[in-house]
Parts: sequence; structure tokens; C-alpha cells
Amino acid sequence: MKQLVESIVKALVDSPDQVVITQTAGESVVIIEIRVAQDDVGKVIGKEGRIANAIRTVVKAAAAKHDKKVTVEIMTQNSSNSSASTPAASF
Amino acid sequence: MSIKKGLFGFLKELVSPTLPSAAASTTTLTLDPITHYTPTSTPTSTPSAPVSQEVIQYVCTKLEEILSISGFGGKLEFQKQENDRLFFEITNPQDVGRIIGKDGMTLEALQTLVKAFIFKKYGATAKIALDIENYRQKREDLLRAHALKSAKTVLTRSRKIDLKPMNPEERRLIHSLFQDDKRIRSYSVGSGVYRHVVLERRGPKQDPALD
Repeated sequence: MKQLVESIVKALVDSPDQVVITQTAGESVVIIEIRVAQDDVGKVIGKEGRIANAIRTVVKAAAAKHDKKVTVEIMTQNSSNSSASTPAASF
Repeated sequence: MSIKKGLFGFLKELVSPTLPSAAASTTTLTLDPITHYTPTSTPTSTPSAPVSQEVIQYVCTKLEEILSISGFGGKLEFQKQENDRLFFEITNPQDVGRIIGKDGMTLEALQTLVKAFIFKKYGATAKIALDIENYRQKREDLLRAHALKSAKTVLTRSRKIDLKPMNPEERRLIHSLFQDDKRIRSYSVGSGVYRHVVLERRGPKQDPALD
């Protein structure tokens, strides 16, 4: 799943080298966090979250094939404290 | 691959009329035309044709990669270009139902991503239509049949029926069905994913449709 998100996100951003995808696996739920360069956040979310939702839909379909549930979150780096990340958009 | 050459002349014809207006925004499309350029027998070939070929190649590679990582597998084949829209079909995947998703949701999401990929890479928008096992046609037939059935109900029982939420293309299909209908009028209400068509009886004292 991580690889899938990475493949999608890297094709959308200006700085693919700054794309960091983390995956936290629970028993049946997988949480995938997307971190991109600050200037790229908008590109991953898209107008009215269209791209973000498309990513979620595709990832969910792929995960469902393996009987998994996935939450995809796009994180924004706090400029004053880069270690603290907050979800920019999650469903 | 084999369709490449045959489509070439066809592409050129359809692409060329839009060239002047698109030229400014699509300048980046000519970055690497040489590698994908396939000479044709037609001397009037426009530069936009190889560009399309490159875009097509990119879309196929990228989407196949996504399908493969997802475990669906399958190939993406370019079918045709019609009114500036590029038609692709996913062939030989596993789990067609999942790729389509509820009411075509996943297929549409893939389409959204492909458009975003193209915009990112080439700085130009593209009209894309993804299909799988003739899903589009089936869906169209289904929606049409359902709308006509609802229209009948509107005429016999109620004045108004709200159809299920549909995407712009699907709504356009419904509107075109009732465009010249003297007894039924259609209009859309709601916003975002909730936007849907309403069918209503054309009443004598009603204002003309404000579609």
C-alpha cells in the first residue's frame, strides 16, 4: 500500500525526493501518512480535496482487495517546529 | 503498440483544429517529442500528434504501474481520440468490480489521478476517459433507462423526482434526454458529490427552465 501511495504522490509533486510515506499497520486498519514539501501540499490535496479523495479511493480499492482498511492522511509540516505534524486533511 | 501508427493520422486530424488556442499552454509538451515520434506517410502531420503519443505512452506506463502495485494487474490500451478526449481501456485486470468501484467511483478516481499526472508533467489539461469491460456504455444505458422510467413516474404520479447523484458527464446525458421533451424538464441541484438531476413535469405556469 505504501508503495502505491508513493508511486501516485511522486508523480504529482515538484519535489519527489521530499516525499515521505509512513505506514502504521494495525490488525486490520492501516494508516498511511503522506508528507511532502510544503509547496507540494496543495498539489496532493487538489481543488476541493479532489486529488486527495481520488488517492484515498484508489488506495482503498487496492486495500480492499487484500481485506485491509486504509486511512490516508496528508500531513503538513509545522514550519516553526518541523517535528510536530498535524493532519491537514483526513477522513 | 501496434495501434500507434494507424492512429497517427487519425490523431493529427482531430488535434490540429485546437492547436492554435492550445499552443501557449502546451508548449512544454514538446520537450521530448523525438523519442516518441513516429513518422507517418501523411506529409501534413502536425507537431501535436507526437505529443499526444508521448502523453498516451506516459498515461499507459503510469496507470499500469499503479494497477500492478495495487495487485490488480492488467494493461492500459489507448483506443481513440474523439473531440479532444483520449479514450483508454483497462484490459485483463483482476477484480473488475473493484477497479470500477461503487457507481464507478474508483474508475473515476483513477481518471482524476491520470489527469493530475498529465497536468503535472506537461502543464496542460487533458480530457481522459477510462473504460473497463465496456462499463461506460453499460452505465450510460442503465442511467438512460432509469431516467426514462423516472420520467414516466413523474408524469403519472408525482410532479418531481430527484435522481441519484451523478457526475457532470452523466448529468449532461440525462439533460440531453429531456432537452426537447415537452412534458418533462430536467435541472440539477445540490453541490459537489451531491449534485443531482431533478425531473419535473413542465407545468403551464412554470417559468422556462433555468438550466
